[in-house]
Amino acid sequence: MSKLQMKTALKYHISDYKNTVLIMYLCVYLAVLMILIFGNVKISSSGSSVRISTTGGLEIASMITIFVVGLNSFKENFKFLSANGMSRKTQLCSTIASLGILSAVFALIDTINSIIFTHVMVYRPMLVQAYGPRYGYALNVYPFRSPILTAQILAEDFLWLLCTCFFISMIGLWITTLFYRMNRGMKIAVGIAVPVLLLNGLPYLDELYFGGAFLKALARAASAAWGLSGGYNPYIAMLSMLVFSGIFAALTFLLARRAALKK
Amino acid sequence: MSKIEIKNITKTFNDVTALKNVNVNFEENHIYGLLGRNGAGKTTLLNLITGKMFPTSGEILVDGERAIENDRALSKIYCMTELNLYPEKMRVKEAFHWSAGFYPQFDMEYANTLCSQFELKTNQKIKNLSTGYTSIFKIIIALSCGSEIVIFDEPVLGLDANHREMFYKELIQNYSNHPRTFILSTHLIEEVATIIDRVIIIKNGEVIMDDEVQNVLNLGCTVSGPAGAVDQYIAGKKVLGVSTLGGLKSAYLLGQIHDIPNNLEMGKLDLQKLFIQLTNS
Repeated sequence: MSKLQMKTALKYHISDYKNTVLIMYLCVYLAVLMILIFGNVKISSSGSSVRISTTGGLEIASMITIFVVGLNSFKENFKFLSANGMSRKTQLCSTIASLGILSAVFALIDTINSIIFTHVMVYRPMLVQAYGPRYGYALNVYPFRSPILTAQILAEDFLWLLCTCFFISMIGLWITTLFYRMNRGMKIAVGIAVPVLLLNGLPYLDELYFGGAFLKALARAASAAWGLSGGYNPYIAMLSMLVFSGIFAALTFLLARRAALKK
Repeated sequence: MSKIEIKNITKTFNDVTALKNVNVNFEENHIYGLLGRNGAGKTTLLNLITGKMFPTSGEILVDGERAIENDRALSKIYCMTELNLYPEKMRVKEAFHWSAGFYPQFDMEYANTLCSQFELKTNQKIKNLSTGYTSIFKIIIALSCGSEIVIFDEPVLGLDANHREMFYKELIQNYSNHPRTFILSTHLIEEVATIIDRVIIIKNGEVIMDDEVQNVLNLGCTVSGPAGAVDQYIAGKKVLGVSTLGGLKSAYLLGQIHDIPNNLEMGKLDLQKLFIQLTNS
C-alpha cells in the first residue's frame, strides 16, 4: 500500500466531506435556534418557572448524514481513485479510514454540542436517553431537566457516538458497494424484496411458524448486544458495533476486490 | 523507465471473448499506436493494464511486478480514458491539485501553460466542459502527470482539427523533453501514422501485428500514375486498395516491388490502407 496515495486519498475524502458536515451542523444549529425561540416555553407554577419542552438526540442528524455519506462513498470515488492508479485495497482502506475520522469528528462535535445544549435548554443526549439508569438519570421525572454531564458521561458519549457513527457508515458503504456489483434487475429485485421480506414476510412467517418467538429472540439479542439488558452498559454496545463494523467492512472488501469499472 | 509485459491474457464477458491469449510487450521509450476496429478489444486491454478490470486468465507485469492490485505498479501508469472518471462537480484546477497529490511528478506549471495554449479555463467545472474540452482537460493531465507510461484512449474525441494538431505537436515535444512510453489508442490512423514508432493491431481480440512502423511500411508500397498504367502494373499483385482522382490512380500493394515502369511513381505504403486490409474480415 502506497503511503503517498493513501495520504492523498484521505485528504481527498476529507475535503469531500467538508461541505456536508458544515451544512448538516448549520441545519442542527438552526433547529436548536428555532427550538430556543419557539419551543422552549416557560410557564410559572407556584412562583417558579418550569420548562415544559425537552429536546434530545440531535445526534441523529450526524447518524443520518454519515449513513448518506457512506452510501455515497463508493461509485464516484472508485472511478476517480482508479483513474489515479490506486488499487481497490488502498481505495477501501482510505475510505474506511476517512469514515472513521469523520465519525470521530461527528462524535466530538456532538459531545461538545451536548455540553452547550444542556446549558441553554432541556436537552438529553442520545446516550443518556438510552442508558439513563447507568447515569442515575430518569427520563420521565417532571419537571424535566437536563442531565448533569459528568466527565464519565462525556467520555462514554464520545466513544459511543464514535462507534455508532462508524458502524452506520460501514452499513452505508456496504449497501452502496453491494448495489454497485448488482445488475439493474438485481438492484430492483433486492430493493423491493428486502424491505418486503423484512417488514411483511419475516413477521408473517415468524408468527406462522414460531408464534412470534423468533423476532422476540432477535429483539432480546439486539438488546443484549447493545448492552441494554442485564444492566445498562454502553461498552457492550461499542464492542458489538465495532465487531459489526468489522464484518461489514470485510463484506465490502469482498465485494470491492473484484469490482470492475462500469460505464 | 518502465515497461509492460502482457502474458497470455484472455478476457471474457459472459459468452463473449474480448481478448484471446494476448501476448504483447510495451517497451520503454516508444510511442505505440494501438489500433483496431470498434470492439476489437483495445479498451479492454487498456482497462486490464490499468487494473480497471480483471483478466479471465493471464498475467500483466509492470517492470517485472504483477500489476493487478499493485499500487506501485499502477502508479507508474496514467491512462487517459475515453470515459470521464473525474467527479463532475470537480473543477479543472481541483483535478490538477489532486493529480499532483497522486502523481508527485505532476508538472503544475506545464499544466497551466497547456491550459493557456488550449484556452481551457481552470475554474470551470468538469461537467460544464464540452466533449472537446473534456478531452483537452484529460490530455493536459496525461501530459503533465509525469508517469513513465502514459496511455491515451481515443484522446482526440471531439477535438477540432486545430486542437488535434496542437495535441500531436505537444505530444512529440513532451516525448522529446521527457522520453517515456506513450500508448495511443485511436481510430485516426492517418493522423498518428507519423507520430507512432511502433504499431500493435488487434483484430477480434487477437494481436495480429506488433512491429515497428517502419518495418510495417516496408511490407509494401504505393504505386501512382495514369489509371491504365497502374491497372496494368498491379494485375496479379496483392493489392490492399486503390484510390482514383480524375485520370490518376494510386494502388497500395503488399510485397516487394521491382521493375516499376517509368510512367509510374513508387511511394511508401499507407498505414491506414494496410490497417483496413488487415482488419477487414
